[in-house]
Amino acid sequence: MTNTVISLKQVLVGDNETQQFNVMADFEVKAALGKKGTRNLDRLTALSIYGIGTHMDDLREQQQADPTCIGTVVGSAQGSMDSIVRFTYESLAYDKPDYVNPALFPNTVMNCAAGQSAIWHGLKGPNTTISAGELSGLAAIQYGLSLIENRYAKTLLVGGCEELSQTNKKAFSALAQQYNETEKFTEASVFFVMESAETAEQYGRTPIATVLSCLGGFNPEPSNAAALKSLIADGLQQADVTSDKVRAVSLGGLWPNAKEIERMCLAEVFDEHVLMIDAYEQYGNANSAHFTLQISALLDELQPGEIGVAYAQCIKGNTGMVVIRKEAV
Amino acid sequence: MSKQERVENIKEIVCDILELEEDEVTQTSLFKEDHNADSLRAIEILATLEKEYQVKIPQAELAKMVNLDGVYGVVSEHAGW
Amino acid sequence: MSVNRVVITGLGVVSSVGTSINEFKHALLAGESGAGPASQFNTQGYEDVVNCEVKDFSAQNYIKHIPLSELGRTSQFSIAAAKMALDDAGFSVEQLSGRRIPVCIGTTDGESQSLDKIAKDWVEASQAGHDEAFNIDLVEQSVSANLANSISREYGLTGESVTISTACAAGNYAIGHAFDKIRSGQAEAAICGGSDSVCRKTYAGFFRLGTIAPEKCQPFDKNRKGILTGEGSGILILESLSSARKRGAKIYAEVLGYGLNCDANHMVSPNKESIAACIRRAHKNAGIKPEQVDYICAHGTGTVANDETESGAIKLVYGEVPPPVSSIKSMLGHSMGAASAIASIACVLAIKEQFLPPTINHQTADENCPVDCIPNQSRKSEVNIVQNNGFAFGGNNAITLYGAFHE
Repeated sequence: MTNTVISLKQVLVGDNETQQFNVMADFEVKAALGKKGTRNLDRLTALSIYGIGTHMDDLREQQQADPTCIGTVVGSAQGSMDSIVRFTYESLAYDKPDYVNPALFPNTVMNCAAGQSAIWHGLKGPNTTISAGELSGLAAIQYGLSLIENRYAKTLLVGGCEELSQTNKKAFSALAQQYNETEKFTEASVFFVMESAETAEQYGRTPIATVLSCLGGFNPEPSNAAALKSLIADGLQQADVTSDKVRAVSLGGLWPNAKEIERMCLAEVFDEHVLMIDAYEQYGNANSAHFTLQISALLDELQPGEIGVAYAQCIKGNTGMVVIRKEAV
Repeated sequence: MSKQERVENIKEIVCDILELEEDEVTQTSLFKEDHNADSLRAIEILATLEKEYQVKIPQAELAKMVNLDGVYGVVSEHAGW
Repeated sequence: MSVNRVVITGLGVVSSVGTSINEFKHALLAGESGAGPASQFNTQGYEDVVNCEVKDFSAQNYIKHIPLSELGRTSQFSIAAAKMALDDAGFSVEQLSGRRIPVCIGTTDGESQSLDKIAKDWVEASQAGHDEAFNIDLVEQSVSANLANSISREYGLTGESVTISTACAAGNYAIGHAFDKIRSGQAEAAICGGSDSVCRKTYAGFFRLGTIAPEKCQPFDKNRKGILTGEGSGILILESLSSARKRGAKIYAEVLGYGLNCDANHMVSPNKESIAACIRRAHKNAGIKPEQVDYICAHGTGTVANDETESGAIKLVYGEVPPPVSSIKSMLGHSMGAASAIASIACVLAIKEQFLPPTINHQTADENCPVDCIPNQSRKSEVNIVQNNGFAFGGNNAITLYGAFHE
């Protein structure tokens, strides 16, 4: 069982889930972040800077006292695919390859959003970008827990971030067609503040939830439910929680195959009265940010003292689960 | 294009890159010292001008491209204006 | 919390100077260069491109369970290096299947060649006036998670499978994460390292920044002209000491600790004070003092900015006479996210074989880089503790420390 809490959460998500591609229509980079230093930011980076920025008022005192104790872990499946592919595109599209814009080159590394967020907000602790497809958010939480418990950072901004650009819309469309799923994708920037219960108390932050356990895994046979089921069982055991104590379960619900496996595990492991949340039904596929949306949706349903589980299997076989106890509204 | 038009065009490009209003910059104000430009912005100016005027500007010329006058001098030399 | 000692029991490498630990070790000893004409990515519009490519790589020699058509070049490198490392550590496929062994792979560009091809297809479609969907096979290949997942899939592993995409320090990040999992008792063994492939995107970017050397990489040289892009994979098997003992595995060296921090200052310019702070963090984590370090394997990219800043940071921590500092990028170019993982393997070999790898192509010392860079020839030396530097765009610094294994 861990002693790590989520003490703040912020969810930014596309605002019309009836659309195939649910963008945050109101989010415009210069309007959100100002005219200076924003010219070359890609949308993913801007969403990350902005999402993290929503917490900075609460972290200001700590950041000013010691910027090295606050770090960032960004779950990102691919960085900005748009920045990457367009850069190569520009190098091929004109008479000379040198007509690429050098100032856009840093956007093509996958850690751009995390690095720029650290620059923008003055966060000098560990700064990590982690990729596990649609479970990138889970990977970020698991990695963040490790950094906190092993004392590499006191406080971390941990989350998942996804943009909807022309480029990844084209990629998502190809995937939707391949896996026989309707197009339902969303942008999202979801960041939690994670820290030990003691750190939260030190800075006067009231924990929203305690992370009782977090396990990432892999299913080498994606159509077999055994690997995910065993992961859930181990995660519950680590949390010292029996399945009948679980009030709500938040599923990923991504892609027909994984959806079926998640439902099988639900039926086999949990009480029939457990409340089921399906993040895909609620939001669409938020790719890198999807798991963080699952957790957010779970926290919205739980009452203080209640325990919830979020788990998922992604298209590439990554699996993951989190057990949390809601602490305060 | 007249010299004045080229000067104006270069100014517009540089102001766009440095995120400055045109009245904030003079022909001799320094990009780095007066406008907080870093080396990446300097290379961005060079690259943008190469594309705009279809010229090749060696990277060594960055040393001279410290303000609008310097930029005009370098571009005009390589473009043969 | 239990604190386990973490040892290295297996190594695997795919590089421009050798695709086996033995070849790689001999290349380091002999100071070989992996540079040559580019043939692995689209160089349209460039002339005489020199880089450090992996030659004669036969994926089918290493990959048995996944159709090669599903794998990009970087995932193929990853599986190949993992197979070498697992074989070296004495793990059989049967021993691994179904076990919750974590796989953690660092990268800068992921499946960059698949992404390059998506861009090329798009340019061609646009020029022909079409708006075509992306090729699904390329989209599937290009997912960065594949780098770790392909290893998990090939060996039937069920542990955490993550790709750490913190650019050119990512290999050290991945090793650090695996180290924590074992040190804290969450895993008995882990597969970790870094992988990348040469690609047009990265070449175009560094070329436009003016940081590509025309023919050779000369770290710490007064007349250094920049990097050569490179590729490969370095994979290490980390194991708890008790697990290694129980299996009777050979022990190469011990992972002593690591440090991470972020400059939070500039996306591409390195920062001397912040790097020095990261070195101190790593030393503290490993419980060692600067005077115990026998060798520093530098990030040493061969750019004017990096080598001067890195030398300065070393001086801040070590004073006027730091231990010898060399850059193996002089030999194998900059293999991006693989670089600090491959360099970690060089560190482990330096400890195991008691030698210091050279900085080749060294002609003229630079007073701004006042380090003993082990010019041109490897050196026999007593090597007990080594430091491995990894820095990245985004101001991400990650430094690992390795030590000879003593009971």
